[in-house]
Amino acid sequence: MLVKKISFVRPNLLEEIPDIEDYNVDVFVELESGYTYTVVIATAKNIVALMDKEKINFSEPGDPFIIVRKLTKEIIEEAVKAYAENDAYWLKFYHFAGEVDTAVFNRLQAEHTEYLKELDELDNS
Amino acid sequence: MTKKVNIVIVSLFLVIFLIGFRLSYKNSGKFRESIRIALIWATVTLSPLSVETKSSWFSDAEGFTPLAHERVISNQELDSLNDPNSRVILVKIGDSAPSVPISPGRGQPSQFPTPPSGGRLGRPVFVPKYRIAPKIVDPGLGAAANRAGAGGGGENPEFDDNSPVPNKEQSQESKTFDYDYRSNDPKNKKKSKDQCELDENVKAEKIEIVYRIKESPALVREAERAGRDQDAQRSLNNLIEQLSLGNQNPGIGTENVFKDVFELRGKNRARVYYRKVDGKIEILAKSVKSNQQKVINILKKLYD
Repeated sequence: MLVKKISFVRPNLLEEIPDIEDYNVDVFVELESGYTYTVVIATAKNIVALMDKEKINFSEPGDPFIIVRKLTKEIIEEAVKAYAENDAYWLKFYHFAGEVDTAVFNRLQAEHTEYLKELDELDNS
Repeated sequence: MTKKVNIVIVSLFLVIFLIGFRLSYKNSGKFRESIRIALIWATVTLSPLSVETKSSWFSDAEGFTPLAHERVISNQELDSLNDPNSRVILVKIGDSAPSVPISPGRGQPSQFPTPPSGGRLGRPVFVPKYRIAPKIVDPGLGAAANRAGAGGGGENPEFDDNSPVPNKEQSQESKTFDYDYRSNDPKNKKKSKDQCELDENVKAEKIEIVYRIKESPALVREAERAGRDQDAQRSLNNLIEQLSLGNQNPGIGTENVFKDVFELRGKNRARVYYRKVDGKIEILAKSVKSNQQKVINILKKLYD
């Protein structure tokens, strides 16, 4: 899907980032549909820094990050365009992750279990 | 003795018959014909005696007669059932595919007991529904040692939850647990001298929080919307708590939105907007990711 506009909480945010290899930002992505998706883009180094900050050995559960090498305009645009492909599936996934009810996953799991059961029955017949 | 008497009687009958026959046909001249008829009559008369005599000659080989042969098989079967050391082969019937070979081959006698046929009453044959699996003797490992059975294919998974964990592995597990979680537990956490002073100072100088969200119905509505997400609500509370303790960079980071308004960002979509006025913290708005831009736009209208 075509990316119409990429913006941040303030216009000159990228220029003011102290370390573009160790930071994370909220990015607003407006698509041609007119809807604006919000995703968090972080550097790989920043993921480690957050674990150090929280003194834990894993990235704590929560909103997923789009991970980039550096927080530059070009890299962010490249990443956002990649996530906007295929009807913006992954952009939607990263935007709505955390708001999906567990019942949806349970239903998917039940459907998949039923599918596997049918396969087993076909194998045994 | 009886045999000799029979032979004598038959011989007498034969002689009397020949004499009588010869006298009756004396004038007709058919002497040869009378002799032949006499021999035929004698043969017919003696044949039952001959059969009876034959059977008495082979009295020790009774198995050669059909009736005697069947009786022998029946006795052998009964003997084999009574013998505890004998092997009994169980045969499944009523199935299209026999589980054991019933016929050993063309023209060969069957060694297996068969159901009665031809209206003759026979001994009932024991026919089990299923073959009985051989009983495997436990070599001393106990019932829980291999529930799946030898070679797999049992109902239970092959791994054993009851198997004891070596002490070495147990100690490693405890260490990992301590490292990951207990070190973060504030109750058990070992603190350096500087850390203790910092924490105490934060608690002593807890910053006063002033909520100004209710001044804007639009921001109240958006805050309520954010609060419906329970994970986000917990994260919102945590962010404000940390801020009141002096931590101005909790969660995944703080961003200056405009002028003196800052945004606290939690991992679970939570966003808190605040500013510092006269040493107090004013909470201006709350949001989640989905209404973040809308809240920022409202704040800009109100405070920019």
